[in-house]
Amino acid sequence: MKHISLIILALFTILNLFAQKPSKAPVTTTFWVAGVCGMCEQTIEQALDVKGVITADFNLASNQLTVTYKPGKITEAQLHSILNEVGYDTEKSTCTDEQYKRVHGCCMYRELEKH
Amino acid sequence: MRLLLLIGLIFPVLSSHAQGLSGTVSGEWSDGKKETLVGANVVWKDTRSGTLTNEQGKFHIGIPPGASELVVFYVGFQADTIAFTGQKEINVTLKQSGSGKEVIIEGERASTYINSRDPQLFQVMNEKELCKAACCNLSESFETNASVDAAYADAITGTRQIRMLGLEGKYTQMLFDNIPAVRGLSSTYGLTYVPGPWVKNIYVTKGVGSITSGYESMAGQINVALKNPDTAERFHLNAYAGSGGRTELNLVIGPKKEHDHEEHEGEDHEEHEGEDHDHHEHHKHIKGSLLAHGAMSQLRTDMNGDGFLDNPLFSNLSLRNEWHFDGQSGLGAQVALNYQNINTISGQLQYNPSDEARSLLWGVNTQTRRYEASAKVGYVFPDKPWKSFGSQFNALYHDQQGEFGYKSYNGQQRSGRVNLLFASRILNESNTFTTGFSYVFDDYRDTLANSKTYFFSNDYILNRQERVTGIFFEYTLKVQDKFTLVAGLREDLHNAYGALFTPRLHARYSINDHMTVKAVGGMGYRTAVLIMDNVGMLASNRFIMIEGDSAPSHKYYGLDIEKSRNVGLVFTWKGDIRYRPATLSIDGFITDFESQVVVDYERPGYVTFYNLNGKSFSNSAQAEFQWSPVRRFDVRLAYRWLEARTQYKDGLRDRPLVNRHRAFANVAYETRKKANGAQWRFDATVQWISRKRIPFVINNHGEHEKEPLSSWSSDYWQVMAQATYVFKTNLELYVGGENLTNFMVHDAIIMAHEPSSTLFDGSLLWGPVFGRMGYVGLRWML
Repeated sequence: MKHISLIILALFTILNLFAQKPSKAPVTTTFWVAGVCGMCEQTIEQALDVKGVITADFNLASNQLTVTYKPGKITEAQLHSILNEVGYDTEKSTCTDEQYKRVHGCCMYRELEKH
Repeated sequence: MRLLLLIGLIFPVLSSHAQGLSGTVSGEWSDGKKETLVGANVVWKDTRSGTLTNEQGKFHIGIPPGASELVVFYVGFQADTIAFTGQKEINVTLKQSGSGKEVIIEGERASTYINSRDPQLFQVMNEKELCKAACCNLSESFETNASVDAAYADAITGTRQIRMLGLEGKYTQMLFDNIPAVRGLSSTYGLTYVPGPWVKNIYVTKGVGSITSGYESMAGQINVALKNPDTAERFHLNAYAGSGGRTELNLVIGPKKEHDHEEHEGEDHEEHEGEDHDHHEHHKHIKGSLLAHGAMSQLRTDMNGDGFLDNPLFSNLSLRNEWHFDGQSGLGAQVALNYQNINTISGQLQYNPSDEARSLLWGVNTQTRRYEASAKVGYVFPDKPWKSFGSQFNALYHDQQGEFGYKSYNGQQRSGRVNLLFASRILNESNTFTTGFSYVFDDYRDTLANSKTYFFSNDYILNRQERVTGIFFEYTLKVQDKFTLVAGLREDLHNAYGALFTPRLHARYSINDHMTVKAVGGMGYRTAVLIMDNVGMLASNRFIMIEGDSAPSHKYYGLDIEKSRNVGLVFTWKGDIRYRPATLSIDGFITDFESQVVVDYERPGYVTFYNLNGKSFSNSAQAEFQWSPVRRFDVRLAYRWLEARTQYKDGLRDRPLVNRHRAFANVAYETRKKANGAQWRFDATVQWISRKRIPFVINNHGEHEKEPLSSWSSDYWQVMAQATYVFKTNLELYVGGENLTNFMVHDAIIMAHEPSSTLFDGSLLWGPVFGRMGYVGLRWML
């Protein structure tokens, strides 16, 4: 009985060690992204169809993007820059005017905010 | 020892919590009830930094410098702003907002998905699913669906028919845009009239459907949403050619999309499709669409070598023209016109209907023409979006003439239907109802005659008229997002069968965020259309006998109206497996006939119709698992079991040609989309179909089968695969193969070498007669 307990304990300790290794375990993060319509949602989610991203789900009603990614393959900063690249501001970084022009005409969220 | 173990387990969980602000968010409904809100937004004001509440309604948020106010909001509730003064915990209760506007958010969605929100609906198949099979018409599109079996009607005409819960397609009500269609003379062939590229979505209901569309759905309901002026592409062209000699051309033309591309400068991103522009209102008041379909097959093939054509030669032309009128002040109307012209030839290889020598050969030659017009007029009360008035009108003329071997058939159907609906609510928005009135008129002129004098007489004139007046009331109770109940009652007065009472109940309960249970129960009725319901029997020299009761005389041919009870239970789990979305659905259904017109093939050389005297039932169970383990890769596994038995004259037997087991696996993969929209799409399906009971036959050597009263077919595997290359978003090319295992039924036609025998029979087909088939196609959209 004791042996079994010891083995189990050893096993969990090993598993925990693996779990704590930051490069292995996927991380889920949620942050704000500009975006006003279903088309924005599609563009945002599709832009994050890159290596290292397991899921990307944009909630249009709340402007919150939930991303699960592998930290060993991609960094959070990269996620933000990818979104800037397709023309979308995020809570941590704003895209340049040049990048913003890539957004489709009907999705020009900066203009919509001004109205 | 145990303590250590526990610490080992808990430690990593605890260590993930750092300092910050935590709390819970709950919502208070207008009736005072409270519940925790899952996925509510918690955001620091003016910072764009925020989070969502978890499954217990809890949140944890980091504190950015200068944070002073926390904004909490959730769809359907009033947002709240809370001052932050360094608290460690904040608990927020949001009040329900006045407008119960529902916002539907779509994420990555599979091409077929189990619906867990609507208590009546089971499954939705979209356009993408319909592209998976060669899928020239609707009956073929169900090859990748576990709930609907695509069965073969007979070995000669090559038509497919569907089956739900082990029961023939006639027991499933077909709706086109919510209007009952494919009824009466078209009950078997009907699905083949609908070309796949016309379809936007298919909504599958297992078990009885809503009473608002009549008493007919007994085993299920399939509502097909066709492309209309609101959903049609500006231009969509589909061309298809199969190695079986079948060629097709489909065309969809929709109104010009009103997107103001010119107003904005900048690059034109082509990967965005027009339908996704949901924040633009259409201002046009009249919009039209045109759907066209032409198909032809003139290649004579006989892969199983029985001297008969595997697939019929045919030429089809179908047109649909639809108009939508959006008037001001809540008034709207839709009008659709349909035309179909279908000619088929099948039978012996050398058979040619224009040939004088044809009388020596066994052949089928049919001409079908169909005209249909339907209209919907609706009115929504201004400022009361929950109160509306709707009306549906439908008129149809169907004419079919044909020669089936030594029999000739001539049938006409004239039908009219009016359905008036009024929807409103009682007290508040959780109690809604739909009530109304319906009138259905059907006039059938049905004649079956012998065309050969030496054959003993088997003539029938089956004319009849049905007039059914009905009233209905359907009440819906919605308790938050947790529980929905739909209770429906309808009372119909049938000119021949008197009063028909139809109660139905649908309930849905969300156990938690992931699990849903639905329960279904109700009754259904149907009058049998003897010849066309069982058109497969005409692919034989079977002698047709109607043995109805002699009294009372008001019944059509002495036969009862078919009446069934149906109950079912559906369990659905939706969640994540390894961070990726997955769905598991398990269901069970029982259908029990109180009265039925039994179609008896048990005696060789005869088909006998008589009233059920004893049991007739179908029990089915199904499990379906769907998972997308990595992005753009989907797996679907399904298994379905059923037991369908009927009391025939000589005993309770399995319904013929129904397989007890069916299992299938479907995998779909897409490559990452390039900037111009280019990508590859792959799809493959493997399915296993278990043995089927074949009624008593005398085999091709004139001997009885070993088992005295019936025999069993073998089980078989089928594989189909497809690859699509998308050049850019508007141009796709696809190649595929069907029946890749090349499985064929070789002795599908009994006494094929002697078509003049009374035992000649092509009506008992249990598998494909056509072997491996390849096809290519193209889709071009503007």
